[in-house]
Amino acid sequence: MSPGWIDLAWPDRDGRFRFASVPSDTLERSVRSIRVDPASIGWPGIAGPLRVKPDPEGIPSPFDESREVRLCRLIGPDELPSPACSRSILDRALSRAANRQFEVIAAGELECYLLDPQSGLPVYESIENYGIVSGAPYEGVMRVVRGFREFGVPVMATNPEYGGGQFEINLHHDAGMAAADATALLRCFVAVAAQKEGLKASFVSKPDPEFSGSGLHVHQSLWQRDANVFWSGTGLSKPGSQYLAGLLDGIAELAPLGSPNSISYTRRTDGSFCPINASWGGDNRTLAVRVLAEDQKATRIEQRDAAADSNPYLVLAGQLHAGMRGIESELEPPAETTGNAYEDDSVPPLPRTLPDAFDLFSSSDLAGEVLGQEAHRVFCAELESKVVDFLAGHQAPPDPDGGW
Amino acid sequence: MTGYGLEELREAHGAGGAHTLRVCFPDHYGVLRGRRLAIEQFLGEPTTPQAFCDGALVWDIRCGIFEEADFSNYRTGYPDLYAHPDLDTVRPCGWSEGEWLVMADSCDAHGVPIGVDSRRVLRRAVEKSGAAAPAEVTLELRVPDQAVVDSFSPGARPEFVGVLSDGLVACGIPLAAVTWDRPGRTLSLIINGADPVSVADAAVIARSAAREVSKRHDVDLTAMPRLGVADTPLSLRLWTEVTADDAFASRITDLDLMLRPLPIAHGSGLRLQAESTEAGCSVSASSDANPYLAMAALLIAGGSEARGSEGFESGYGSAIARFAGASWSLEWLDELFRHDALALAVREKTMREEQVTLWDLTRYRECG
Repeated sequence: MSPGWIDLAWPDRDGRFRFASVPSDTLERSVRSIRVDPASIGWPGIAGPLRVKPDPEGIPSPFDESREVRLCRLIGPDELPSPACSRSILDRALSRAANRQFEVIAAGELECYLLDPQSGLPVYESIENYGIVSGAPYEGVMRVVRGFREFGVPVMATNPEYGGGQFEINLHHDAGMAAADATALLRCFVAVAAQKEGLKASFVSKPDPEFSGSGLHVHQSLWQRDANVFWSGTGLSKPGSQYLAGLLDGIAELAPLGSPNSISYTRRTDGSFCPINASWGGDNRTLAVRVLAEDQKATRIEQRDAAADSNPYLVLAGQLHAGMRGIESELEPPAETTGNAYEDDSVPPLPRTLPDAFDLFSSSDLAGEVLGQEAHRVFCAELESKVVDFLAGHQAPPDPDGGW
Repeated sequence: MTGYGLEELREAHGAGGAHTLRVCFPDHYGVLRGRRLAIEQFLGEPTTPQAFCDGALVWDIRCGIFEEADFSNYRTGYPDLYAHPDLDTVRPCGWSEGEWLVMADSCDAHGVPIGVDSRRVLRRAVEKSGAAAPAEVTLELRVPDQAVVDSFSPGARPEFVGVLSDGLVACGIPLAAVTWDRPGRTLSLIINGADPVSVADAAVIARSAAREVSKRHDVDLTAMPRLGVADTPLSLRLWTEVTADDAFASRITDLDLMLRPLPIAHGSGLRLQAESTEAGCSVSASSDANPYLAMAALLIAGGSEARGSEGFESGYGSAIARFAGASWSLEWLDELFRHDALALAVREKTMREEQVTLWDLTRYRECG
């Protein structure tokens, strides 16, 4: 059945989707009539208005068979991809890899809370990591979430996480843009699935100082003609090693892409399984970057510092640019950390507050490469206002809705 | 064996009667951990392991991680364990429509079984003792709510008991009987007729199902051995056909921590009850015991020829001391398991002595 309506959706600066519903039989005419003010999507000062350019293919809505979701890019007055278009920012990063004939494969691993909408408290209090019984009452939501795999969001599995009422949702590995799309769509779809069960889903990085933080871990690998570039046959390959070095070189200065709010930095504490330094190593959850060199199919690098409420397009773009710079400059990684990375003082620290992160980000050439100079300028201006608020003692309160 | 397998799962899925699979493994306390995935995904790669943080095998009853556990801690970095589905255990969750489950064996990245995995502890005891003999478990659960108590009578049972018992039978659990003791407000599930690992699987699944079904029906049900000091402690009674020598009682007392893992089951006047006859060995572990470890303890005490420590004094401290001193059990138990089981017990003892919060009590109460 042909859908009756098409929801044209584009991400704002925070990775939230804004959208317009158009009748499917007037798609072309409707697209021409839609104008987007860059300021309305978090990019004030970027030239506008913007037009939307839908993907050729849409995905059916998991909630309404008469609807289809069509993701869009944003086009500026100059007919070029707008600096305010998160998907175009990721396109540029993917092109950097494609220029070397690399195909990017990635997967997001997200955490969220299910909350009681009246009290705002998690649906259960005790820590029930991987709990089979504790997860049972919320299967009304999680079964729907796993069903998103039929709708362009390839959810692999779900389980209760380390915080009371916290859940982990794993996504399958996919091509770079599809992986970021799936991560961004997952958040809004989960929010609807929870709402339909009388609950609220929150992807806020730290909904309460006492709660475990919610992260967005990004698994990534580069492929060439069906071969995993990161796999040497026995472990991490030389290009893999260079890519890793690039990630570590850029992780501190790009922190605001994955941790855009002052509250994001409250995750970064000792023993929290959120990294506090630019450490790397093997299968070790205290590290910032895990190298999982298993075999041709599964070898990947996992960067673990981003928060669940960050913009997945910008997070992946930042990590790709950093990694590709490592390959292009033939960087070598620092010494591997073995053991407890929280106690390894030899490793450069990551910023623990937004002002510290802002100082690095605002002077970062790499951040300019990732976002483009114009978007970097606007992003910095927005960050600066958050820094001013933070220094004045106004840490933005968590939004329990997560805004998705 | 459950009477089910991949073929039955495929059929149920094809007929629209199955949508979700739980991949499960037990933690140190026999609490089922794991995750849920869509069945079509599982059927595509049924032998593919699921990765979990390996701290799950040595965290305490509150899911608290700590540095004294040698198997996994911040120094080891809490790497992944790989839960390999045991395809002989595929079965429907008869109490939850459309859901199936499979038990999994925890292995490291190279596929080597992990010695602190309680299912592995039991497998090793079975292999070493050669005990393919049938085993039996009686699982006791307390239902404190008077309104529920009053709804039991010959010819009538509370709705949650019906859902639970019908569901367990549909799950392929070898459930021999469901009994009700009104004075003790105790529901008992008797499971027998299978090998020790299958019976322990069944006990863990049954306890987990009981918690799940009772929660769904807003019925208070607990595997906590005692709610108050006046309560008769609940037990997990185990029996196996293995016959033992005269030192059985001293050996099994050495392994008390595998039978009564938490301080709440110990105290003045509470002694371990074990017996060895020509018909086999039996022991009454506490109702919150891990069935894999309790069954392993029974097989180890029954199958060994070592002499255990002398005396049968009660108390948690004594249980820790005896377990620490029972070097004879190294022949049966992985050294890392012995170390971390002791570390967990010492942690429980210390926390118990320092502070027992309402939250702790609730946690104990919800054990299983």
